[in-house]
Amino acid sequence: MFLDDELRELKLKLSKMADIAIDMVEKSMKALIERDSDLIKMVVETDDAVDSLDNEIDSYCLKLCALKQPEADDLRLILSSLKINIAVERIADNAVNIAEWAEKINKQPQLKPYIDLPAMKETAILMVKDALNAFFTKDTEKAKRIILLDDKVDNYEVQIMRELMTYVMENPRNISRAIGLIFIARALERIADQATNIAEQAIFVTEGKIYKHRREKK
Amino acid sequence: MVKIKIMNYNLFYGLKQALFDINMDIYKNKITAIIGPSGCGKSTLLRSFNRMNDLIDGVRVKGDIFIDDKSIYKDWDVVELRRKVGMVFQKPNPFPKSIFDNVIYGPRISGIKDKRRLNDIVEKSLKQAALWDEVKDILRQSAMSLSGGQQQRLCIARALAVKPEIILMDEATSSLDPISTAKIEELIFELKKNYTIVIVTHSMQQAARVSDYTALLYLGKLIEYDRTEKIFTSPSNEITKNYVTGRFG
Repeated sequence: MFLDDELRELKLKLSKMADIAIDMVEKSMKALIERDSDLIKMVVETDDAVDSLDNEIDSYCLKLCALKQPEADDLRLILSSLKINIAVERIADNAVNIAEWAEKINKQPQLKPYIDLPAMKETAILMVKDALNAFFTKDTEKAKRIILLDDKVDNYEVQIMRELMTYVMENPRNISRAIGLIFIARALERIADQATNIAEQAIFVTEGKIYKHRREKK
Repeated sequence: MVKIKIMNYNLFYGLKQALFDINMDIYKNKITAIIGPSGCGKSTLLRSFNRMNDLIDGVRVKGDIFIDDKSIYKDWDVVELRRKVGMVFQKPNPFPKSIFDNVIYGPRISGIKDKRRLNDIVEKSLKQAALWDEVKDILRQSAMSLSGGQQQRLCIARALAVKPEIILMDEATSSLDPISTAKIEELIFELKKNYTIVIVTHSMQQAARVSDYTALLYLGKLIEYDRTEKIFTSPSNEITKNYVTGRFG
């Protein structure tokens, strides 16, 4: 009872930060696809807001642990929030990476029509949104489904890489743009990885079980 | 806004000095916790605010304490001071009288006789102390029949009945079980809207949970005094750090 208001506040902060980070990913990919340099600037500038929320959430969790002696569910929620905070901050960092590569790539003519990258972005963002939703609503089934979706994103990355290598082999002048696009695919893959990290925290917060590294062991 | 101002305050029990040059501002409508190991002078400091130490033989003081900018030694009448500064002790100490008589003890002494007014005081004080719902039907029963936690809330109601502005609590929950403690802590939190509260506690967790400001006393000296959040997340002083992390005390 004593901590309810504080935990609600913590969730609000996290959700605000996540909204900003997801929007950054959307904008950075739009910047690539629509060759819009204004969006690139916007993404890079927004990163400061995420960094400041990151610090704010860290300090808030520190304060709650030091002053309120959280136990059980409350304690798990605070520990998970610290981890989700890191995950969301990295999602925003990857959005900045995408924007910076988009800026370089867009200086040259478009190498190829973008088909798999937008689809990969859609899956990665869906994973992030669903993982956060699973965390906020304590839906472990949804969290487990998200973790399985990570394979789909990994497959996209392999496919994109293979395709781009054919462009590289065809003409060395394609190399810089192809590498840029490969890095963007890698950034999206990392965003999906962060979504699985968030999903693991959703399971931890709900069931109290540590779900990390299970897939690797299988 | 400063409610209590402690200036160069020293206190001696005979030849033994218990408090050394304390300087500290206690803020209005805030909860201030005084923590420190046994014998560090925290209760002595608390009991200075309403001159309870005057009752002990051989006590003398140097320096001064101001409440509402008036010296408690020079400007305040001691009876008036103790009405303004209520106190709740470690062990619940209800009088062996009815619940009703316990609450109106102070108002009655101060001359209030009107029954309706006394009834109002009882209801209001018990409501403020979050005890009304539990005792409203047994007001004429002996206070001794209440549980420890209820007795302590009754003592708080008794302190509130004389309309103090400051409430001092000396280890007010140390003899209570966790549920009663939680109730009193919630009550303290509620009371700060209308009162300035100073608590002395052995429980660092309690100081962390309920207070806005925390002061650490050690061997009669004020070691660190700051916002509670600062004291418990990044204290400036090495002694504070060692104390709040449980390395001594």
